[in-house]
Amino acid sequence: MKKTRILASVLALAMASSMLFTSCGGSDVIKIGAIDPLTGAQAVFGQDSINGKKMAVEEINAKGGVLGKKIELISEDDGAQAAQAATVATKLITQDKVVAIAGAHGSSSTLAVMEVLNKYGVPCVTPGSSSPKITSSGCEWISRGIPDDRLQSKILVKYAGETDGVKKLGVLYSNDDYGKGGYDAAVLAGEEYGVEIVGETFMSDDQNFTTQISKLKDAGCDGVMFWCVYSPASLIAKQMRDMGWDVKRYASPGINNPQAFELSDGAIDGIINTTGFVAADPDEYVQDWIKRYEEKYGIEASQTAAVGYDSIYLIAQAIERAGSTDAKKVQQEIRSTKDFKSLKGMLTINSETGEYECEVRLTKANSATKTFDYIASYTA
Amino acid sequence: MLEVNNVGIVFGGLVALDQVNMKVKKGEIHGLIGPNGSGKTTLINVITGFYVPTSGEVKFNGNVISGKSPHLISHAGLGRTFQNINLFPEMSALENVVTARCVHTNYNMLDAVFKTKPFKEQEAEARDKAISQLEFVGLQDDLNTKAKNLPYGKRRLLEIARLLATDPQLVLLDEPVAGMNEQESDEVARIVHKMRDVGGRTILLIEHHMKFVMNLCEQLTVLNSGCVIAEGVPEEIQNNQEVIACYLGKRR
Amino acid sequence: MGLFILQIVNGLVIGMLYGLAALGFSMIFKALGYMNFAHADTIMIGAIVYYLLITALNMPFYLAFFLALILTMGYGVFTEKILFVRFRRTSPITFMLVAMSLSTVVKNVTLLLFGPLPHGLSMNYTDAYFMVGGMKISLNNFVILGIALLILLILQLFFTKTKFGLSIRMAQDDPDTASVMGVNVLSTRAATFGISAGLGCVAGMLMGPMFSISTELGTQISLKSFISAVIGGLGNFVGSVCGGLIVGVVESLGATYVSSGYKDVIVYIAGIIVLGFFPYGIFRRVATKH
Repeated sequence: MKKTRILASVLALAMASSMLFTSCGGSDVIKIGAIDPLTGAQAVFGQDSINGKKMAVEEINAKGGVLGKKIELISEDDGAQAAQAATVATKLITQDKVVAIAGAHGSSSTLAVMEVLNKYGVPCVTPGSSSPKITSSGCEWISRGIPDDRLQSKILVKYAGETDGVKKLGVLYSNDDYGKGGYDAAVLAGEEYGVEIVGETFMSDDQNFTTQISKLKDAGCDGVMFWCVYSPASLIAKQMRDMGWDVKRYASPGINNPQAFELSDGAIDGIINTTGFVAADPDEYVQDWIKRYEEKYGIEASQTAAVGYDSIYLIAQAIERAGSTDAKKVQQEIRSTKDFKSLKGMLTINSETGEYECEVRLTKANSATKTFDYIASYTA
Repeated sequence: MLEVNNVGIVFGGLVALDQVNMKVKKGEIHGLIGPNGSGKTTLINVITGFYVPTSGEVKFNGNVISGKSPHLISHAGLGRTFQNINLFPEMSALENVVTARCVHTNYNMLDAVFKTKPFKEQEAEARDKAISQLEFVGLQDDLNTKAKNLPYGKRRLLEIARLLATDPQLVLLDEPVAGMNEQESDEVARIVHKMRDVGGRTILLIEHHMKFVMNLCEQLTVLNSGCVIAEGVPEEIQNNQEVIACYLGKRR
Repeated sequence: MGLFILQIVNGLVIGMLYGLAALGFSMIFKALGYMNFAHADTIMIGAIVYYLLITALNMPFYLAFFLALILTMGYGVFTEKILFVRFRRTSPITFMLVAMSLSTVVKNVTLLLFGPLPHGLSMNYTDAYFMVGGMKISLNNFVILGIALLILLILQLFFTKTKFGLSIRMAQDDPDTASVMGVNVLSTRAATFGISAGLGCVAGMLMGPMFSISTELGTQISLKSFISAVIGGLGNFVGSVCGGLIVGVVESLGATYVSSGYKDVIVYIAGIIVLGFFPYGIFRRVATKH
């Protein structure tokens, strides 16, 4: 029993001291918080995102930092759960006293974080959340670094109807803010472009979609769109292939990740998706970044990593322009970002809503080369 | 055959057994009596390996068995029954006893599936032995009755038959006639004698039924509050003042 | 009509896998009277080990199947010998807490070693299929059912026809009487944990390729397999398997004809209703000891 007591005291001491260390920090650094789904159903994105962010921070610090100070990136995990996102956001703001936050990834998480932002007044750029609700809710502290769902969904539906001649589009979406946002936008777009929309939903951590797929097939759909992150999207594609259903398929940018080829066993071949980031972009800036990323991390660069990287630069440049870490000033500068050279093209933030205004591109998945090939471009 | 030497056992702060000494000779019918809570079942549990004594030792045929696990003690030739009967209710009397024998067979799964000669032989042997045990206790007419359908008295007999099927040298019976009437307990006494006279076994039993104990047992050990307070033949015990006091005292 | 048949087949296949996992859980309950909430980890471990053997060591899948099975069964025995046996005289609540703690540790260690990313493993045992009413039903489904049934058959033979199997059953029924009959109860306990882990492993290996191999695999089916075990009757083996099949089919049909987004809720509600009529499970009457 004595051994147990000693062990318990050592553990308690270790826990206490670790907490002490995290709240320690000199005033000669600028702290930026990062919220990512490092574990759980969206872990795939969390890893890529934090890689991109860390890379940006290291580069900026190597060049002298921001306002003469180094950036300290404090990374937290929201496990793709809204409640956890709110908790870590509060911790970053109240305990770590971050100047700004880059996060979260999932729309449900970001919406939860926004409530915390409203309470404390801290600027935030979400690199991954595309739900329209984020910029339409009137929160003055949030800005978005990727195109929103309304736009993306609209473009895909338009493409399906006009270019591919799809009359009845089945939409398989995850039962969360991200998926529902995409579905709602698809319905509106369907009305505009004369495409009938049939929706089927699933819980975000589901792995068996044969039911939903069969229902869509039974309803006579001649095209299917997935609005979810890449792990379910890959499985849906694989299961559709196993069930022998071969129709035109479209997907949200969630699918744009090299891992999707392995996870779907190549079944995503031919899927057309929207994206901001195109790995085959001839722009030297992009190609150079891809090379550096792959050298550093040994894995392929994805859209998620790119937007994570951009979000840090966006925040850092805003802080420089503001000349201080005052929350209101920084947020003003974030919102007045114009022609920011991002990995997705020239990016502008709408000063009223914080919405992203930049190109949306369409790419097609190619299993033979394991790439997403560029097809066309649309502007907002 | 069985030696209990200075056995003591303490649970938490409670001394359940203290310096208990008992000897059971080969071929004896030995009784262990004492008021409720005196430690009889505790002693049996120590002897059969369910408890490890904190002091002293138990020897069987010269070998130390205290501290060994129950199944090894069973293999050494010590068998016991429990106060609550635990038969397989849905199986017949015959099946219940055959099950006990099966633990001693050594055919493997392939033999069983393909019903090879060794399998058939051992199964037949197990069956025959089981039937003979059931005859021994007088249940030959109930071979195929489900255990749950047997009246209480016969269930007790079935339990004894099952125990005998493991061929023990020393049989420990924990309250074998509890809840039985005169006729049934006489029957059990007869069977106990048969076990010794015909089967050559030694018996140690715990009982509260005084008439049964005094008539049947050749040697008695009396426990009270974890200590041995008397040892001897029934006549001596019946006239022992301390024994009378501890029983009468409890009744008041 | 084709849709209905397809969903029944899907339901039976996934149900059978729930049933295997439920059987493992039930077995421990019957033997020890405890609920082993660390059981679901064996599903995850089985699937991940199977995946690693095939991809990292390039083993042919039937070899990997057996090796993963043996390793996972070893893990089950290991947890009993190192951990669970020390708690054999404690209350069920204590055991549940120990099991849950073990589960947390194991899941997180696996997360550290394997990473949070899901991986795909394609396992098409056959490319054959048949068409019913416009729906393609792959024969893979029947291969999976076949493998599961074969495992159950072997288990059944083991329990009824071997001495050790019989000893395990006796020890599960009444450990004290069994030990007095010469059964080594510690060995049978270890064997019970080993077999239970093996069942979880098979469920994981059959299920993993259908979906994706990740550390989340066990968690996803653990609740459904628990419900399967309960509605079938905890401790009743036929019940566990049938419970699994029922849950699988209800889930599948519920998703098709009621709501695909809320199919889990449908399963839970159905479970509550069944328990309302059969409080001890469909296949179990109240246990009586005389």
